[in-house]
Amino acid sequence: MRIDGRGLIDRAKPISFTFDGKRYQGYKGDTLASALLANGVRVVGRSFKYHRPRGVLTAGFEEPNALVEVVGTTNHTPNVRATGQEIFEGLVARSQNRWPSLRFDILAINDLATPFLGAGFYYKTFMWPRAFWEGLYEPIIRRAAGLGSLSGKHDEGQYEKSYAFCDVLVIGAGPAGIAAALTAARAGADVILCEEKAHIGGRLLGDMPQLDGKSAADWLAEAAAEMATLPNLRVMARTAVTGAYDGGVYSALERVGLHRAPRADLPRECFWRITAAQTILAAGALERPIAFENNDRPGIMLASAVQDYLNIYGVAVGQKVALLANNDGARRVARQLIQAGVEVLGILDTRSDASVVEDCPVFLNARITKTKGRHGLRHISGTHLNGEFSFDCDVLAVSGGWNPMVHLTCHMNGRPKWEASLSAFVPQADAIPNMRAVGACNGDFSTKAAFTQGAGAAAAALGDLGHTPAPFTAPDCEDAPYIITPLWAMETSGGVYARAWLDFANDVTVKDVALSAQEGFVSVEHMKRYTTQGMAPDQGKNSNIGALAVLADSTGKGIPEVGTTTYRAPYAPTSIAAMGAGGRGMGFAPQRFLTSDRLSRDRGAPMIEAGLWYRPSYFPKAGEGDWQTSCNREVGYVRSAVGVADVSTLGKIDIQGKDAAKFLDLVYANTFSTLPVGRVRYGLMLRADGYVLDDGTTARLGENHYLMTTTTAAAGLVMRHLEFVHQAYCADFDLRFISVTEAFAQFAVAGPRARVLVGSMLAAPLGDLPFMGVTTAQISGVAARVFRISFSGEEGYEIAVPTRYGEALMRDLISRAELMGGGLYGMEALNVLRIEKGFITHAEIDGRITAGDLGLGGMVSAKKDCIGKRAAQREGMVHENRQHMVGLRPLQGEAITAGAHIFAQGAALTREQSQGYLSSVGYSPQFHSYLALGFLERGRARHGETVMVVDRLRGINVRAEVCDPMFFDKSGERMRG
Amino acid sequence: MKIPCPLCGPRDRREFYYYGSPDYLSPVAADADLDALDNQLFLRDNIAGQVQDLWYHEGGCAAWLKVTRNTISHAVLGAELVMGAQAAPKAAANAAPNPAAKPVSAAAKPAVKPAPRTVAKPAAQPKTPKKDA
Repeated sequence: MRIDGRGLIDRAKPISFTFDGKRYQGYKGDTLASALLANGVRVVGRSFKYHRPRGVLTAGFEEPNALVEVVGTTNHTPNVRATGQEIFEGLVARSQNRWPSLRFDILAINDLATPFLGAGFYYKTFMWPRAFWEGLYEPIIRRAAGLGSLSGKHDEGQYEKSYAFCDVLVIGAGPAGIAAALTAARAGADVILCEEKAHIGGRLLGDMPQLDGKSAADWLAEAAAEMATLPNLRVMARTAVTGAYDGGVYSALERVGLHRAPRADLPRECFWRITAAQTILAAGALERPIAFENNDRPGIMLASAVQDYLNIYGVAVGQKVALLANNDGARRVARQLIQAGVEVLGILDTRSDASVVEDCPVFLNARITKTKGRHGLRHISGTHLNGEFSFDCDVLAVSGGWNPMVHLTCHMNGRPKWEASLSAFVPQADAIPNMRAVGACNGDFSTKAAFTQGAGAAAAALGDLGHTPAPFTAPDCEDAPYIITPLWAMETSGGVYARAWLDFANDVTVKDVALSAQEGFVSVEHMKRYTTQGMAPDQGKNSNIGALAVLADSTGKGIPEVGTTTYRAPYAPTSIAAMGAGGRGMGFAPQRFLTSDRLSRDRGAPMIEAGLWYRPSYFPKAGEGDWQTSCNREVGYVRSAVGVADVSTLGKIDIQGKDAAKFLDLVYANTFSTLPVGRVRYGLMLRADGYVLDDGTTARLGENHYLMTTTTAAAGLVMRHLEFVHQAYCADFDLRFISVTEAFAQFAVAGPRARVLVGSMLAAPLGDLPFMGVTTAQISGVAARVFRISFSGEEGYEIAVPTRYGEALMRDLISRAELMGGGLYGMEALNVLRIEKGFITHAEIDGRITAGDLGLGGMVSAKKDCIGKRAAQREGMVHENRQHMVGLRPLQGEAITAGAHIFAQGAALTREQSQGYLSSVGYSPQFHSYLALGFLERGRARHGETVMVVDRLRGINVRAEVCDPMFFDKSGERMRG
Repeated sequence: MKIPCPLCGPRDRREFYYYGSPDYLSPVAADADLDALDNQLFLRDNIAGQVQDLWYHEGGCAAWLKVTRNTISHAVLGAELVMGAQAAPKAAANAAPNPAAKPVSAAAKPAVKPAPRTVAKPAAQPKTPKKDA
């Protein structure tokens, strides 16, 4: 219930929210957990395996029990810690893992089956009968497994990711972190201070110690005011640093909008990559529980959580409170509760030698043997030094000691070291380069130590950076030693430990860990996987140390010998949507558009992705029933009239210099130094291992000036290759080259009427531009290059203009072509045209093909060396049994598919009998047949043979004739005209 | 991971394309025998520790770099330009087998000194973290 006069919540701002369909009221600054506790809600979830009713255990992000679903407008998020979720007006949350309701959950029947559901039970069950595996066991297990549910819809929330750089990163804004941040920032360093919670202060907020005679709240207000005046200090609240990576890089997750009502422009989270020269880890410590019989009843909470709810949220979590502790720290909690008017029934101190001087009864050597209250603690009883005790209480505040938050120090394969005097693990120094751990996370739990260590580490970090430290005076505050007698678990009635909980989130008991050791899983890594301890969303933050202590007992080893498992990033659950912010849908990759893109889409052309480019597939006309009809028409344009296509996507590289020719002779298999100015030559480029890298045409524009083209998809690859050859082998060449792919828009004009069309556009007559020639021209006052080359097999030209004129030129070309009985053609038609002529693309050049395979072995010049020449001469590369490129024509013209395999007639259709495959297929209107290019063993010697073309995936098995890949016009007269 | 491009300064590794061993810097000789050819193309040492590899500054200045780094500690120890560090080898045309070209000097002088950020000193070299057996 709410207590007046306490807490940092804003009572002037009431907020209403819904939990499990019921409306409640809280205040701004409340978390869902604190508001529910204020409203007397004790049960907030059902445990994972046994569906036991559970209440809030902690006041922080390490919460294992109070995992809820938050239902929003764009997102439905499971496993949200109610202790971290700040309430906002209209928040809708639901408990998880229960049906039909939290109060009455059918699967609580699991709790009765405990003897059969211990750790690893699924390794020993669900085996018989086999018929039940898929039909019964799997559906049941699937439904029972997992925690929380998903909406099944796409995550439509907004997320961002960002980068930050600083001199000093301070992780945690408790006393140590604030001291470090102020020390560094006052000295002028660039500082980022990250704090996972909504407010700075850390333990100061819950503990409320006196600092310099002032209240902690006042001291914090002054510190915050000073921090606000320092422009070189960025305070990032609600930001959890989740991982430590190489090079001083840290990942962090900032909750930007999760604590507010959703809005279209409000990102939910921002994923940060922070690069810091120096880092100070002030992550504090987390309190740990003690295991005893039924220690998971709602109302059994961590003592520091009880304190947090009192001092931060103004909530008394119960009316009759008892405390259980093995250390001195819990005494303060009891005193504060008493001061606030809460009835404290007694302190159960597990030690025999602690002080009994308190304002409430103190019981030494206390052991709890029995608790009552399945849906909310009612009663505890047990033994102590002088007899027995028995309380009717509704809250038991437990303190089993503190665990320094060493996690980040272990993200680069480091392990923490055991400090026996603290009964805790502490960081190894230098585990992360340039990171220093201070305060509670370093094993020093007093308030004074936090301030002095934080300031000291910052001073040392400043020294490493070459800054002069500014002074920071630690306030006058407590500096008490940490006195603890470890106790991990209390014997339960019958010594069975079956219901003494270690990992609340995955329902792992002391007995489970002991069982693991008994069954031979004695390594901590095995125990973890066998019992699933530490594998839940909380990643064992409350249970790791307790579990390995129990394992140490069970195996007779010491705790340091058992060791810890590997701490891995992320420290906090991180939504993938945040890490991939901006990458959904169209954001996944850049998009590249042609100058003709708009007009293509306006004409209804479906656009296909060619790398990052969009190219038009075909241009449908009204009345055409399917794409094939459109494609056939477009092929007809090129064969009979004139067709126009945008070919700007091909890579274009401008190469200049006195050694340009020599360079081309090195990278191309054939010779380019002999190419006359004004001519274009088809070239083949090999890789260092002798396989074909790419093909293309290169034009000689001048004595020392060439223009190379590459295939669309390989443009970047070829550019990289040229850069490598130049820088590695030809550093002393007089040579410069640059990609001009985007500089020029280029359009193909092909067909019997192409010459007329092109001529009609030029300022001066085209004259006698020979086949494979290049010239410059003026088109409507724009300087253009005109190449006479053909990929269609018809007389063809390509016109290149500066990109900004591309669309205008294209529109002009189209209207002229349409007047001449032709028009646009797209990728489908382009493919058919080139297949009919046996012209290759990277469907053929797939990285396993040699020049010889293509029938182009003669292109590899005998008179000069080139990249890949020697490797191409290896025996296996020229072997006569290699697969040669051939054409294939189904005897009945039937449909065949690329990827189909080729078999000799009568051969068994097995992998070993396959003699080749089809690489490209198109339907040829002029042949009324599908045609293919493919590769066939000794193919060049088998023209005329009938083979089987088989595609089992698509049910194709037809006979086809092997033929020359150039299906018609072998002399090329239509091109050369 | 950052790679210190001599021309551009320390840049995120995602600006670079990783190619592989510096063995690629020695072009295959026209008359190399089969074993030498095979080694040149495919045989590589797989070093745990200090290695050198070739990276291309694709998202930057297009320089090819030889980067020295430690695959155990992840430290990046330096990068030099391939061009300029190479004693200019003739193109392999009709030449005797080229001995594996080793760069003779340290990093080429960068054309422009990269403007430092507020980070005054480079991070201290990390110690090798403890490894499990």
